[in-house]
Amino acid sequence: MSNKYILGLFDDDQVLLHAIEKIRAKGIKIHDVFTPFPVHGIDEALDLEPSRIDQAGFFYGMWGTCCALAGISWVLVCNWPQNFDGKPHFALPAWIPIIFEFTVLNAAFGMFFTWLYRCNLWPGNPRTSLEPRSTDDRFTVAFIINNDTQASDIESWRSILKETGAVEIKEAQD
Amino acid sequence: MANFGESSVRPSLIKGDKTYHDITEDICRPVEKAPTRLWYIAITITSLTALYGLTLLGWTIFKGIGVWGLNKTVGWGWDITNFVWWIGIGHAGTLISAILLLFRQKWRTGVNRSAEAMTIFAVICAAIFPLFHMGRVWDAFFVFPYPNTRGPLWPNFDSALLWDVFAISTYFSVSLLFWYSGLIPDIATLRDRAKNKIAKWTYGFMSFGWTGSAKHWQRFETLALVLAGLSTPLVLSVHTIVSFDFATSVIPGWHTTIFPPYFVAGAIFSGFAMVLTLLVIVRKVFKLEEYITVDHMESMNKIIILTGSIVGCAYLTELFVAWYSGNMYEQYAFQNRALGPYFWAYWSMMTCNVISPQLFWIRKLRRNVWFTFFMSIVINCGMWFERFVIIVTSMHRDYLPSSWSYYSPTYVEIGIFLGTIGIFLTLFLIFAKTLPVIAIAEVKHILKMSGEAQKKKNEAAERAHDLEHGAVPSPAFQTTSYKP
Amino acid sequence: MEQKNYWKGIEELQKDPAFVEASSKEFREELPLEEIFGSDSTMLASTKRRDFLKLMGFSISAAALAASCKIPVRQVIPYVFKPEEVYPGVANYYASSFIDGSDYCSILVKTREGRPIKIEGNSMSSLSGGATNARTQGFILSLYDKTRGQNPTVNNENTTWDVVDGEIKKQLQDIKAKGGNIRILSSTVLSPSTKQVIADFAEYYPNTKHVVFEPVSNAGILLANERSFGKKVIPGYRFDNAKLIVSFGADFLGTWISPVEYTRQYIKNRKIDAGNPKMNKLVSFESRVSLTGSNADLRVPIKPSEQSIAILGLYNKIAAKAGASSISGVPSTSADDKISGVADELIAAKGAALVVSNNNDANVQTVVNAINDILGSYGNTIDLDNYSNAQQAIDSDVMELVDDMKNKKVDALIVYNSNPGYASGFAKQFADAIKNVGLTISLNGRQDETASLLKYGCPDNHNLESWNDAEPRKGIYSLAQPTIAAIFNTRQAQNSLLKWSDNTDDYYTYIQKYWEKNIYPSAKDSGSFQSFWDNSLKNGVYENAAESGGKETFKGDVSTVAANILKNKSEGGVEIFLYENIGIGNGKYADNPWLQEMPDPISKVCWDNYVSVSFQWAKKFFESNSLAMNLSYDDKRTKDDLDYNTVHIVKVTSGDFSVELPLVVQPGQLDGTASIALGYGRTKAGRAANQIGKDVYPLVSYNGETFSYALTNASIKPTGKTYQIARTQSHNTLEGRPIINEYSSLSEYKSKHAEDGKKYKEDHEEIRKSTIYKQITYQGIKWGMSIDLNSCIGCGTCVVACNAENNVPMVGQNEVFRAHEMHWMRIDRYYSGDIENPEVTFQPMLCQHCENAPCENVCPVSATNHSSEGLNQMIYNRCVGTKYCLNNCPYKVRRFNWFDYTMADTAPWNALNVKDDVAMTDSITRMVLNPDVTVRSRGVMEKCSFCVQRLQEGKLNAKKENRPLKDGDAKTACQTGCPTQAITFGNLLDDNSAIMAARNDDRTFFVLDDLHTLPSIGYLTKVRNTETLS
Repeated sequence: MSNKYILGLFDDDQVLLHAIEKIRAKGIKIHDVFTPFPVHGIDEALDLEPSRIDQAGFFYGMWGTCCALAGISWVLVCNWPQNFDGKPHFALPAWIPIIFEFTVLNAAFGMFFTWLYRCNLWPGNPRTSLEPRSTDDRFTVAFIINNDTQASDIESWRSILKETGAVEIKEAQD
Repeated sequence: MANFGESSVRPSLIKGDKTYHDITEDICRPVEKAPTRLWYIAITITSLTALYGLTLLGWTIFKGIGVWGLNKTVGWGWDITNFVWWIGIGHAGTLISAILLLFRQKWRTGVNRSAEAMTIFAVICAAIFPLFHMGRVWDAFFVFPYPNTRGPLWPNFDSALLWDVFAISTYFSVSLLFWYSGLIPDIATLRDRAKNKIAKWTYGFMSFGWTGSAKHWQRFETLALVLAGLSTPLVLSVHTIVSFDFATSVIPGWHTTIFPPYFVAGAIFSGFAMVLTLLVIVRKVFKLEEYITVDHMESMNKIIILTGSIVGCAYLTELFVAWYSGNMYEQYAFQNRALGPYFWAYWSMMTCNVISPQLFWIRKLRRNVWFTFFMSIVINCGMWFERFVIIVTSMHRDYLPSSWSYYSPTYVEIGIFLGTIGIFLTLFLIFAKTLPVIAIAEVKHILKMSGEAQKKKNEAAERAHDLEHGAVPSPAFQTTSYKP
Repeated sequence: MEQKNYWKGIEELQKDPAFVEASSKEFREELPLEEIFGSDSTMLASTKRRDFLKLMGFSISAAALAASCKIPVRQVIPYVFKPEEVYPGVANYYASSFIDGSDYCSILVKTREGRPIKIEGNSMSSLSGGATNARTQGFILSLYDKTRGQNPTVNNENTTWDVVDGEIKKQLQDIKAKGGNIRILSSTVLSPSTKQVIADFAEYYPNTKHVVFEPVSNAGILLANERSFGKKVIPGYRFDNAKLIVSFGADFLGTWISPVEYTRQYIKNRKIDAGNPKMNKLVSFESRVSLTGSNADLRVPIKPSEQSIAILGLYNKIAAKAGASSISGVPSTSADDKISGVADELIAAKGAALVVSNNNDANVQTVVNAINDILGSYGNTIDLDNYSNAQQAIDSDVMELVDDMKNKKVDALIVYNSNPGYASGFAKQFADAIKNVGLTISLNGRQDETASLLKYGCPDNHNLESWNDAEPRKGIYSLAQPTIAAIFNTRQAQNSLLKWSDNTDDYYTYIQKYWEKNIYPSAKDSGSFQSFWDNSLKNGVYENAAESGGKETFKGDVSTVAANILKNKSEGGVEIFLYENIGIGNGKYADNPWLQEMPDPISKVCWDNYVSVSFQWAKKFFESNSLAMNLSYDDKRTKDDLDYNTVHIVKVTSGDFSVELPLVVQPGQLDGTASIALGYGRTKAGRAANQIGKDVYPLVSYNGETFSYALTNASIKPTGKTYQIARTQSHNTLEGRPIINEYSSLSEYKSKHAEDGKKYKEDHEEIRKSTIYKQITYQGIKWGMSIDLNSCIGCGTCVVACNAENNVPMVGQNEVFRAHEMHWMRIDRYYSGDIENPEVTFQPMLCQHCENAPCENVCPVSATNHSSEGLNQMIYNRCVGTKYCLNNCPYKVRRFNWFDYTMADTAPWNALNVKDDVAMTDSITRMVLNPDVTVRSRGVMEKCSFCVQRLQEGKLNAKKENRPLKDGDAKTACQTGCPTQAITFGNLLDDNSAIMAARNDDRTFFVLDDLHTLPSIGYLTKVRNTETLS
């Protein structure tokens, strides 16, 4: 389904931050903000929950550690114990490198795919920026127009954007 | 990261008066422009070299490893030498992007993208050698612990070579993720700028539908940070494990406990050299002198002095320990390195790795682009010799003099090595032509703090405030100190 | 070897003569090939291989399949008609004899599915007594040489037997009619029956004379004995009775007359027994470093031209002591002081002393006889009654024959197993003279240089396809029986002669009749002839040697021979001695890749002959000609080891003959002398030997009575060319590393061995204990080996035995130069002391099967691990070929298949770069492969397996007999091949096994013990008997 949006384009991240604060102070709901690079302070400004990808990563890693340790000890001690070089079957020190590598591998992949999933990113995703310049030098605030949006709302959005220093205000559709 | 205007003492990392749009323009231009004649000439040469190498690889499979110069005493020669060399080169990329990220080194932003790309291409080249040095490469899958119906049949997890398998594959895939996740926003930029359909579609496909939404950026930064945190021990572990191939053996000259740090230092050493080699070319060819500045190079040259000196210490430590150990085999091994049939390799190594980098103590040389370029080549040669010395001179005269022998490569081995260089450069040229060689988003991110013009503005503001009354904070200050 | 139940000749099972008649064929019943294949044309209109298969029958086909030969499926048949005694997978052993001219060894032939694959020594023989040498071991390969004569020929064109028989018969009859002269030229014939056949032939065709020719002859000894004792024989030497052996150039451990026999005798008194340590002493006067010289306790370098004078000097010293007349006018030699010392010792060892010389001059040999006579050797260390039948050639005979041929006095020449067209100094004259002979027939086994000169080629069977007998020593008889049907369309030479002399018997019947008439009567046992025959056939030998007749009276005239000797003077050039290579002999084994690739025991060069010169001489030579001296020996620190194998080519000139050969510096070669091996540079040797090395037979001269192999008028000039010589060891010194232990004298051993042994054991236990890991304990069996460096003479038999047993690939000259040789077992040779006359030490080196094997841990795919019986095993089909194990092996005994040397892969192009004529890539040569041993494919690592297939067999036999494994149930190939029993093998957990006895010997030490690899192979310290006897 396609939505209509009102976009406010800013040319400076600091100005953008003021604008967001003002808009939200007025209790107007911002649909989303698009920036060409991670603007710091925007999380607080939008009251975004901190991401928990790091925690996920930790568990993926632990999982990798356990798999590797369990797998190797099963293979070399239970399933196929052999005499290499007169060394004991349970040669833990010799396994640490592989266990470590496997941990990293799991954590990295787990996190990466979680990230893709949560941000709904996937190869060939047709989604593009509402405002092409928002990946260049425009900081875009987007309001979504849906059924219960009155014309007055749109007016107020336009005005607030104007007074917070948006260099351009336009409609867009995805 | 705090958004304070950076002290004026620090050299600005972006020259000239750049706007965000200029940055986009400057970095995307080389990608969007039609390739230059120079580029075409370059890629023709490199891809032909690559082809030559691949042909000789085919020849090796067709005939047998016997077409190489290896023999009953020396089982590893140029193949593993090149492997270690390439892996070492790869390390700088991860180091720059990961470790410097953790250390909040802003100057990395100019170079990390191409450094990471270099890592990936280098690891590809490196992987070729352990794969094709196998007598039966068609059975290479034996090294993976895959479930099978041949009764209990698994690889030997105690073998340093198997550690390698895991280390290299992990290193490669994680670097790839790290690199690509960083690329996604920039690809989106290219997508949104793309004029022709094909480009739009391709970049659209590769950008995974990135929009730059605030939440995505937030997750992105967390991911980048943790991946960096993982890559740092990873990159150290990889060369440590490579060094285990030798350190865990019984051959005098291999069986050495200082190998892990020694190898890691060497890896960073050669890696930075290779980054410099490439960047000096890239910044010229793509006119990116304003983003890859002399200060970038100086910082890297400083790291080269450090790691070069570490490596030098390692060499001397080896000699001392050999003498101190009183082990006749160990002693002979090192005596043989310096005075034996391969003395030329040893002394080339010493000159290139220990003596020449010390020249970088001189600031003038450190900041001289062409001298830096020359040195980077010298260091790469030196590090290649280091691996050759460790592998071949230790092996060709080990315990029983009866089986002592001499190893020299055949044209096949030499050709394959050249081939990998061809592959490396070809990949890099394609990369440089199709993807932004500088992380656009990250550079924009530091523009305000480290851009030359912006710094001037901030300073001007501060001066103004000193002339006037009380503490009127600089614009930059105001913006960040803003509280709802 | 223990008493195996040797399989007898099959016909022996059936007593009725008709059957015996029929069973002279390999199989008792007619092979019902026709029924099986149908007598359609596919079998008959056939390729070579099909012919071959038709002859071999299905048993071979099955075996061939076992050896993974590619053969059409329709020939592969189950045993619908199973031949008697042939069980798939069970080896049959047939007692037989290795007889090739003068070379003899009593052997057992191991056959699988009717296919001979290995030769073992026959312990029933009192001569070879289970011992073999490299040539014997390699003999099996020559059976499958596809370049042997395959058909009768006329003027080198293939034809049928009927044709040649018809034509030859007719012409012989004509010659007989006009009373023409017929000559049979052969090498020494050991077989009494064959001699009889020739006698019969001579009777049927009067004016037939039998001429014996040996390329490397000992006619001097025959003549000398005739002059000294009236007995024209090669005496039966008894090295086992000698306390002191003095050899003037006689390489009796390597090549001289009957090396296997002599080695066995020599080693008897060489073994050290801690209880009562006694050793014989060996003194060697020689210019080159022979195998004997390298084992000598005292080696005295002496010029060939001075050898005879030294012998005279020795005679004088001894005569003086014994109060006999001495010779005047004997000039002094460089070795005089040594000689007087040796003389004293000989006197001291009177009665147990033996002096031998390889000098082919009857005069010199007469003096040697005189010396031995004074020393009372006759009856003690020399037995003239039980004389040897080897080396029967009288050189003048063959020269006379050549003259006769020149002067058209010969109408027919029959050459049997002799190659004067190549292996003689008069090859050219011979070739020319041939043209004057009307009828020329070759009975040689192949179309060699001589055969191709002759009109008719009637190729002889291979020895292993033939019936034969031999009397290597008087009263000691030996039988040879076929172990396979003739592979090619060949016919046994004796059968040819019988046929041409209208004798209806075939040779098998003939031998039986001969034995019945001449040998059976002397047999002590009263059984029937058949049982006597069967017994002899079963044992392979029948021995009926008389007691030694004791003292001989010396009738020689020393003063005149001395005068003759003193006549010939050195011509002042470089003195060159021409010797016989231990592997390929006088050249007749040149076509055997196993022997070609077996490195020379001293120089470690293979696939080549070369000029050996002394270090000093080389230095002068290179300096005077301003050449780079490619020697790692002088400044090994800066020279490449392989560069040491890049040598200069020099031009050797003597008279009007000159030859270009590589120059090899041989420490120990006397300054101013050189030595070159005979037998190389053949042109029609077959597959492997053509153009390998250079032919130097033209340097062999004839002094009017005997051939001489030393020349004093040679000159050596540089050519500026260099050459890459294939040698398997290029670094010569131990670098002072504790790898070999050695006692420099017997007394040192006596005084030290006890506490040395004790200390070493303690240290070893210390090392064994010093580990953080729990020791792995073995139950039941732990295989171990012990190698006695004091017994090992470095002859290389074990190397060839190992090749034969384990399908070790042959790689050829160029690959050896690239250090790609595949030998699982090598013999390391180290020099110590004076570079001009170094002490030589041999150390057989093979996989040590370390308890803590460094190679195992590093393999990423678990392709090598440790068995519960202490074997370090290789799993070929799991190996991916990373070569990491090779790198991490401190003993460097692992071998990598750089190419597809044995055509093991199904992809034919794999073997493209392998020399087909060297490696085993054709289906006939591959018949020699041992079906019990995997043929390794390209790209995998391989190494000594302790002959695991034999160990399994031993265990299985024990299991079948439902008993625990006995000591000696399992033996390795190197062990059974070794002529000196230097190798002991067995179960280390069996306290009263031979191996444990060896382990507990004080001399036991382990190589690189301090690496904590805990090898399963222990070495026993070498002892040199350097004190002067008194």
